[in-house]
Amino acid sequence: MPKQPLQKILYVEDDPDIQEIARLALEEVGGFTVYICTYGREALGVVTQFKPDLIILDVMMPDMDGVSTFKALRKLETTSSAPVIFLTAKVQPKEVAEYRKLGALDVIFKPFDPLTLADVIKKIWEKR
Amino acid sequence: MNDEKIAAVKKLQSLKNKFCAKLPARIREMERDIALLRDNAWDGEAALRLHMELHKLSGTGASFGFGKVSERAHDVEEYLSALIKSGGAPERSQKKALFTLWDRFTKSFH
Repeated sequence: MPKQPLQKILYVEDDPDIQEIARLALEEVGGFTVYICTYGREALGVVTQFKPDLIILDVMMPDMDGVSTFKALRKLETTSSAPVIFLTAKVQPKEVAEYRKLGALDVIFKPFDPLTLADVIKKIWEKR
Repeated sequence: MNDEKIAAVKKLQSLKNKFCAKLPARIREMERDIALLRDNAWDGEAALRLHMELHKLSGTGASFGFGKVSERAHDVEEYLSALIKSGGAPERSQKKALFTLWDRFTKSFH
């Protein structure tokens, strides 16, 4: 069976600068349809309508961090098995292992290159 | 390079200019917070604000081509994070180490 193409990405990120760079990287360079949420709680309300193929989560966010958002998304029927990538600042290897153990598809580190981020994501999507 | 990438590079330059224009104000805000951690003071709220701002700069700097800013911001962020986690006011030597990292960070803009 052919793999489902990656088209719609939901990105949860509280930093407006990163939001702008990511929009550029994913929409204009990558050609994806992107919805950006500032808060984890906002994402929980958006997923049912937007139905993303892939969810990208920042880790350090106020109110509801990336891991809490991930766990909350797993409890929703729409996103109980949705592929999730954590996009985070450099962290310790044990934290990366923790994200993978939770069920994350992969972990990408910030800062990222806006011109190659989409390719990195496409590669992760292809090999899943 | 295809047309989309050329347009993206132009837009990236415009985002970079916007980022640079806002930077002095962001540094001033952080300097206000770092002043609240100097000498005998240790303002926990200021430490948290500073940590969050350093985290953001560390995450964005290199995406705009300021690799050293990202790297140095990350160094201060990591050290400050450990101080925050340990709870309470840090020792004088720990503060000194923090301010040394801070000075290296501010020099990375030049």
